[in-house]
Amino acid sequence: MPRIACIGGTIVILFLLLGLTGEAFAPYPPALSDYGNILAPPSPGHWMGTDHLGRDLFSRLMAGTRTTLGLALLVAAIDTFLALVIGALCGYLGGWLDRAMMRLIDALLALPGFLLAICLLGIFGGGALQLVLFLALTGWAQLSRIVRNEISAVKHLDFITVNTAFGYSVARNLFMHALPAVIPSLLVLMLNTIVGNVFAIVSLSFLGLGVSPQTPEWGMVLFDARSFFLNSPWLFVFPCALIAAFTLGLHLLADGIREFLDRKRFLFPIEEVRMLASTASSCGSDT
Amino acid sequence: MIFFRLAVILITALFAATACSPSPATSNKLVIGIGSTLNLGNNNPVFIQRNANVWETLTELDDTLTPRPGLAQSWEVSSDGRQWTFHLKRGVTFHNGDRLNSRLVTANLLRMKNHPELDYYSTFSSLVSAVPKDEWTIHLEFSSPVVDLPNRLGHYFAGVFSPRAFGPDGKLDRPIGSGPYIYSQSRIGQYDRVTAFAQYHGVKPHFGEIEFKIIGDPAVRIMSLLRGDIDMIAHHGGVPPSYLDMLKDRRDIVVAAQDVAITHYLLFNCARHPFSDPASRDAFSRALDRHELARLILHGSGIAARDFLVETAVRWNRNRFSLLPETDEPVKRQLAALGKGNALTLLLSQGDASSWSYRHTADYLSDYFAKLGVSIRIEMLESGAWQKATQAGDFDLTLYPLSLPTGIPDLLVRRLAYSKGMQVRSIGNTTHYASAPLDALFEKALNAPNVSAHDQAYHSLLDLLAEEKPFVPLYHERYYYAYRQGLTGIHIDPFLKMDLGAIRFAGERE
Repeated sequence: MPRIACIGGTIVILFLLLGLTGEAFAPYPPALSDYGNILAPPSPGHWMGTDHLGRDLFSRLMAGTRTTLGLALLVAAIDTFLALVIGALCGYLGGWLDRAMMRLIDALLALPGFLLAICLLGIFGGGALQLVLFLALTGWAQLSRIVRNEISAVKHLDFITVNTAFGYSVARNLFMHALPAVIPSLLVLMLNTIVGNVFAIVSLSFLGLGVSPQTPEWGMVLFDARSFFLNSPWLFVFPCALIAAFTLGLHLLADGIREFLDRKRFLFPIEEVRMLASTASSCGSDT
Repeated sequence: MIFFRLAVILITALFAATACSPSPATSNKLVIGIGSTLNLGNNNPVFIQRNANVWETLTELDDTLTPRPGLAQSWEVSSDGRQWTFHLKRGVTFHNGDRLNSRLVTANLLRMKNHPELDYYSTFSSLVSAVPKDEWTIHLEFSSPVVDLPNRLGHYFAGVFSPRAFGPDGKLDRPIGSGPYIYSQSRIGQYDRVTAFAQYHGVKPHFGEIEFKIIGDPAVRIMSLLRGDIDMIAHHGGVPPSYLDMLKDRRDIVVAAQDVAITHYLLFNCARHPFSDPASRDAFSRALDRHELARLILHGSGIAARDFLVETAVRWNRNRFSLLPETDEPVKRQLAALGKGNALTLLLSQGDASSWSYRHTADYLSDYFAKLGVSIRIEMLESGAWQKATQAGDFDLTLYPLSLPTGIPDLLVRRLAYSKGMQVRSIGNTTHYASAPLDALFEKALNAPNVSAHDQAYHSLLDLLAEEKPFVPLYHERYYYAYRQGLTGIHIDPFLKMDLGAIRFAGERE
């Protein structure tokens, strides 16, 4: 495994552990206010200082890690699931279903997803559920198209043709044989999707459209810090550092995995697969 | 700590350097940094905000919100409050050369009468006739008493324009007023410009041109002032208190404060449990710690409210609310009952939350009442969605700012308590409060034959509101503005208007 993948993986695992257990190790409850300690700078009592209600920033960021990462992973999981089902069916079956879904995806991709999410959240109000729904609604299309393209290339390969000749059902061919072939490349895409989701969630919360304002979440912590960032810069610096560290970790991990899979040739470069498929069909016609 | 501050200031400076094109002020040009445009467009009765000094009103409201002469130098009212005579100022010229006279004023009053959609406070709906008595005297007759007419003629949408500025639909093609500055041009998102009017009837304006440079972000506005791109920060937003520290050690910058005629209210939804019960509203209101809210959260941008209206409106103040919490046994019992129900929804408008400290105020209220056992859930909606939700009654609590444009509480009552709401824009009252005695008192105030009866009716109405509490005041706004050392003649009124004609440099500069 490449070194950058190990570094990225370690960072990501640390964040995931932080998300799962961080709140237990936080020195204070994230909502505990202390009016005697409002906007206090970092100190031994408050490692990252306090906010406008005297709440401990470190504890809020620990709790926020769970919220932000939880939501980002949930959106990525929904996107991936939808992409796998829709992309695989369209790519494998083709025909009218493929054409109709691809036009729908074209339409969705023509709309700027983030702006659409802003509009929908502005109209229907923020909240974790709405955030997940609207981000998932706008996020699956790109992934789905990639899965569809990969599946439609894989389905022409010899082993699928042979399986069909042996009488394997469409479902068995698709889910047991074609899909596993695209999983490695999907994994890399999924990691990038998580990065995108973290940015989207943080940005929407920063705009005041994300989770409920009382929920500790990275973007919401930044939103709260907006009016104080010149005089209380710790409110701004620490959340930004966390976001940067996590996204860096995910990018390193994704790059490392890509490098590893390339080396092992687990990924299916589309052009190569198409070439193999056309060679296979021309060989067939010669015999 | 020093590193943090340095880093943030450097980043902001870089941002400001790229965001603002350098346009250094000259001795003939004043550049004022503002948060949003002054241009209201021609669907608005005045086209450009009062702060641009393009148009004037028949009366003006002074710092205590009492009417004083404007384009009308004096007035008289009949004993029944229905007949008004206004004597106009002489020698007033409009930007297109028209002279102020009774015919011109009549045309302006009929513009409002014939186009009620432009008459935001329904002042002229009962106007029967407007007759010029001579060149500078005009007689008005109303079907019902309008004893507060001078107040209404001084509000910030009651401009007097040359009749050639508006067409048959009453809309202004261009704001041709009589102010010290002539409207020149606006560029969306960039600036509004005005140029000096040499024939102005008052003190001749010093600056040949004034540019209102639109800089939405307060930090960038401040950096622009420090860098010398602008000479002043004024208008809505001004210098937010949390940024004051950036300017405190600057000898070349003057920071000043002004208490403006805006009060921020906590509104209850009187049509929905639990705040349909006046006892719940009373307990919630009495538990409020306005003093702590102002001290901890507002950082100088608000003064804890003792009454519904700003302290400068001395005519209406009777200290109806306590600054400190009153948590006696009945209040505790009522709060305990509130705490047993579902979490209360405190709805915020995103627009208001970005203009004022509503997000932090809501946070504080939620935290404060959680300690008293009442759970509050904060929800933030885009401004249009907020309006829809409040009109549909889909909230328990909300925060709302309201100014006092006429110096009398008519807008406050219409917007927040009168069961018929706003007449002109068909907006119901936001609290969904309905009370026949209050409606009767309001109508009595509107139709009062003299000032004494008018004020008495309003005081009774405010007393009733203080008892029933469909909404309660939280704090009055304090506004900060800043300008370059050396500028003189700067005074901002309670509606954020400066007399731009009076501003000048103490000494010339390059």
